[in-house]
This record gives sequence, structure tokens and C-alpha cells, in this order.
Amino acid sequence: MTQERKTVGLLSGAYAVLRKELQTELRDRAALNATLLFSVAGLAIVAYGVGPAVLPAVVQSALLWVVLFFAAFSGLAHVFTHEEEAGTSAFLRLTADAHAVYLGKLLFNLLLTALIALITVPAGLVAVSASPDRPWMFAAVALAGVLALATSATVVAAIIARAQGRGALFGAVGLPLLLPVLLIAVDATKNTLEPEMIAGLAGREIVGLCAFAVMVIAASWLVFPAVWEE
Amino acid sequence: MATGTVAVKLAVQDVCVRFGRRDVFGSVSLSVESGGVVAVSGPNGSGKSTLLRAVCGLLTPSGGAVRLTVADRAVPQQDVRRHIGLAAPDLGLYRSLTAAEHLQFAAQMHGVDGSIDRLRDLLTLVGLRGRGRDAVGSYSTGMRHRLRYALALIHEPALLMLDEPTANLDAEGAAVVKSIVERQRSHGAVLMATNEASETSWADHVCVLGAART
Repeated sequence: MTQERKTVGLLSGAYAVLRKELQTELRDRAALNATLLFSVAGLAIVAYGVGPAVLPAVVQSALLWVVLFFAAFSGLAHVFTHEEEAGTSAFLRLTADAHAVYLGKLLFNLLLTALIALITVPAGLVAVSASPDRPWMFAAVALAGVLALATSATVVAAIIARAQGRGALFGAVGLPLLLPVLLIAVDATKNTLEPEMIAGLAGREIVGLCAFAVMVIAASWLVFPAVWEE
Repeated sequence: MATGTVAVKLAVQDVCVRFGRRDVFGSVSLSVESGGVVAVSGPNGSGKSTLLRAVCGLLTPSGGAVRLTVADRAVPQQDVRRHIGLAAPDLGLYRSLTAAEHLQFAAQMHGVDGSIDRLRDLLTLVGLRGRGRDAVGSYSTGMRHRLRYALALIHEPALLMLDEPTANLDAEGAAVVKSIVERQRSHGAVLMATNEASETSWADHVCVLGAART
């Protein structure tokens, strides 16, 4: 009697990959330690530099996203590069469906970025002495930015993971993809920090960030099997 | 663990692999069928491990074709790995995960029974009983290789592929591998890459690859 096989659904496979990522991360803390280091260092520098000064909303917004971007990016690439560095990618390729791997790792990166944002954004608001008039709109902008940042970083990490000199390549490949996200996120955040917030503008930019994330996910879904298998 | 025979046939036809300008090997053909054990032998750098990776889809051959037939049905390329189990010394494992977690993950991904009883059976088979809850980082090189066997066997593949089957294993571990190869004969087929005379003696046929060419 051979082993009875069930068809492994995409969500079930993605959940298994996500669980594996969480288990390894909670034990190794490789990505978490790097992101926390960048978050704390970035926030400390911003708080020290800004001091009691009241900055224009656009500068406050830019500083927030600079800290969030560097903190997130130091950890997000790890999701694929650690598989190559530890030599575990072959095991994963043999065991898991490519789309399940992509979805599981994307979910992990989303959780990681959300966690970083949860720590960095409130602390960043204090550091730059900013207080959004409509906190929920501000939170929605941050959430949409996190979504776009994590989706872009995940596919870039997958592309560069198997390349030589992946550190430099991460910047080169990631910059064109991430710059539009960051510019929209900075503008949207600025709009929520202005005393006379223009809700319509921020709303449009939230939609823009979400649409960008959806497009990146759709494109990643198509290219990931080729990137992962070769 | 009970096993049943699966009709399997692997046909490797004129497969060649090239890395840049270097031919790792050119035009290799071989076949393995149910109940058969084929060994691929050759000097270091002749491409034994590369051939195994090409067969299981971890790399795409530069030329030729790999065809796997299971239960008289051609297996599409994207499904080949579901029917293959690979145990190779350079197959990395997650240092912070336990053996049981590795096996549960693999069982879930293959859609097979990942119950504690079954994991215990597999760990017993490879001589790791009682060590299932230990992190792989605490394992010796030989113990990790034993775990690779358990992972390769968890979905009872039709084709078992072994790269340097007894590398890093003690005499008892080598005996375990030999028994696994014999078991697999009654379930499917075995393709292994080795230079060890003791291991090639398990095979019905030996395919010798030439030296690396530039």
C-alpha cells in the first residue's frame, strides 16, 4: 500500500511555507534583529537631528518613510537570500510548489513589514513631532505603503537571491520598482499630516499604492515560477 | 511502513549540461525501470551530481530529454518532483527546525500522512528515533544525512535518487542505506551517483561518465 496523497491546495501550501518562515525567524531572528537595529538607529538619529523643531509635513513624511524603508529593506531580502546562503533552496524547490513558496514568503514579508511599521511609525511620529489630524486615514496610508513595499521587495529579493553580488543588485533592481512606491507614500503621508488635510488626495494615493501592489503581485505571480525554478 | 510496487520508468536521452562555455557532460543516455537500481559513476567533476539535479528538475539540461513515466503515464515536467525523492549531502536543511518539523513540512507539501506515528516510523527507519524533537543544528553530519533519507522517502517516491549514498555515514548508517535501496526495488526504482565500489555493487547497471571537458 502506497502513501495516499491528497491534492495540496495553494493556501495550504502557502500556510506551510509561512509557518516554516515564522518558526525559523522566531528562532534565528536574523531578519528581525536587522530590521530592529535599523529602526532604532534610524529613529534615534531622526529624533536627535530634529530635536524640538517643527518640520514641514513633507519633511516629516519623508523622514518617516526613510526610516521605514531602510528598516524594512534590511530584513525583507532575507526571506530568499537566506535560503540560498544556507543551501536550503534546493530542498524547498523539491518539496514545495513555486506559487505556494511565493505566497508564503509574501505573507511573511507582509507580516514582518507590518510589525516594523507598528513599531517604527508611532515612534517616528513622536521623533518628528507630528500628529495626524485623522489618524485612521494616516493608518490607511501606512498600511497601503507597507503593502506596496512588501510586495515589491519580495519579488526583487526572489530575483536577486541566486545572483552573485546580490547586495549591490538588490539596490539596482529594487530602486526603479520602489522609488514610485516611496514617492506616492511620502506624498500621501504628507497629505494626512497637513493641518488642512485633503482627504480626497490621500484617498486617491491609497488607491494608487494598493493598485501598484496588486500589479506587482500579478506580475510576480507570472514570473516567479521561472525565477524560482531556474 | 508498507509499500506497493509502482510502475516507473525513467528515460534520460542524450542529456547534456553546459555551464557557460564548459560542458559538464555531453549526451548521456540511460534508463531505469521498476525494480532496477542504476549507478552513475565517474571521476570528480564528471557531472554525476549534476545529472541527478537535471533529472529531478533542479536544473534544466542544455540539451536532450528526461522522461519519467509512472503507472504508464508520462509525468509532466512540473509534476516530476512529486514522484522523485532525492537524498544528497549538499541538500541544505534548516538548522533551527527539528527533524519532525522538517518531516511535517515535507508531508504537508506532498499531501501525505504527517502523523506522529508515521514520522516516528520514518525516523526509526533511518536510525534517528528519539531525536525527532532536536534542532537539526545540533545534529552531526551523518545524522543530517539520515534525515535527508527520511525526507526523500516521506512521499514514497517511485524513483529514489541518491547522491553519494553513504557519504558521512557510519557502518550502521551504510547498512540502513543498503536496506532502503533494497526496499525501494520492491516499490519503484533507484538512481544513484557514486564512486564507491561497495555502492556500485548494489546496482544492476553502472553508467560511467567521462572526465570533465573544457
